[in-house]
Amino acid sequence: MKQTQSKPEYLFEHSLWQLRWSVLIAVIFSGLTALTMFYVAAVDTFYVIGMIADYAQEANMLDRKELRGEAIGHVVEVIDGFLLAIVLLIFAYGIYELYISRMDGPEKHESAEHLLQIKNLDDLKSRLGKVILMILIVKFFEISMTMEYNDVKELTIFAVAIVSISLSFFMAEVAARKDGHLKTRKSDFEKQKASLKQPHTD
Amino acid sequence: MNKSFENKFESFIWQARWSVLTAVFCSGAAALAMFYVAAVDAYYVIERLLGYASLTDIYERMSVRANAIGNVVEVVDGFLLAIVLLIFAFGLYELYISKLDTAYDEEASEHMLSIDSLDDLKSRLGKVILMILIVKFFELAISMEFEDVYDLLMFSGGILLVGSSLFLTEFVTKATGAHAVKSDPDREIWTPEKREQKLENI
Repeated sequence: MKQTQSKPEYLFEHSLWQLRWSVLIAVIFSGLTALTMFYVAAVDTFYVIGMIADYAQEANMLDRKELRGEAIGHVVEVIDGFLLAIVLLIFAYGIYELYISRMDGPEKHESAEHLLQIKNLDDLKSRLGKVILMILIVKFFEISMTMEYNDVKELTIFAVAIVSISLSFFMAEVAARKDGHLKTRKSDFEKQKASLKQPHTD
Repeated sequence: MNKSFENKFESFIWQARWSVLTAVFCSGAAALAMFYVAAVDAYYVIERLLGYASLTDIYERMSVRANAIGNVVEVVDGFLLAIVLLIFAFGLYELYISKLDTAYDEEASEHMLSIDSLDDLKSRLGKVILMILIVKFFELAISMEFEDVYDLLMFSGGILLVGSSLFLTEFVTKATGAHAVKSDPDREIWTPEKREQKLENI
């Protein structure tokens, strides 16, 4: 307590500052949601594989084609689910590190580079945005795989849709790479190099 | 929060990263399932084409041929998806669990273990989706009936659009150097030995 502060002011500020512990709720639930998404995606995988298991027995070509289109859609969906789960996990760690305290023990671990990579609030938001974009694209993909196309006009419209999708990819990619903070194997190495140059004292 | 409780809590939530192992297993299992699907497809395509020489009617042959080309492309596409799923499984393991040290002795590690970051995973999934969409377009186009010149014009428009979407994805890949190839002099192979060597040279 500083000399210039009155007692009530100190108490008020102190109790206000304690509010930040409410962020722990976000951490715990974001972690739990991540675990649930891992579970959901694992169950999806199980059913997709069950669906595909007797693919060889399907003698009718059209049935097979339909099954295949569906299976590919679901496989992509599964991968998408896991990506979402990982982002939720990164979220939980990110919120904890930003608003509660640095995770000192885990930061020495080799996968810390990729799991503890949230630098600020904007980073959280843009990650959420990118995940949403990805899920939308997967949704588009799924619908388009089971859609019926009857004439050339529809085919051309489909082509327009493909270009729009790749355009949105292009923009997301350019935005992702511009900030230059991509964590790569190369940056792992650079970090190692830097730490060798000046041996850090713990 | 007292320090030892903080440490315990942090190492407890850090254990949540093991849930990524689910994603690794499921992605691997999905990869095996896709290899199986594509192999079954290949079997049926080959079986159907064996009688191709005995078809004497030219129109019949033309339609069988168009179908066969579509199916062959589909088979290749299925294998591509399977390989990407495999790369995914390895990538998730390497990013979030630990480096696959034994794999670095193999020549193939450069291409199998080429995931550098979460964004890399996402953009790879996106590229695979685009490729499958393009194959879908191709398949539809091959079996479509074209009646007049306008249909033909529209078809060429569709081809142009697909071409430009390929251009866009290629442009991103090249511009960012995300997937540099062997001929690229800047390409570094991140084997442990090379890493050690480089570190020693400093």
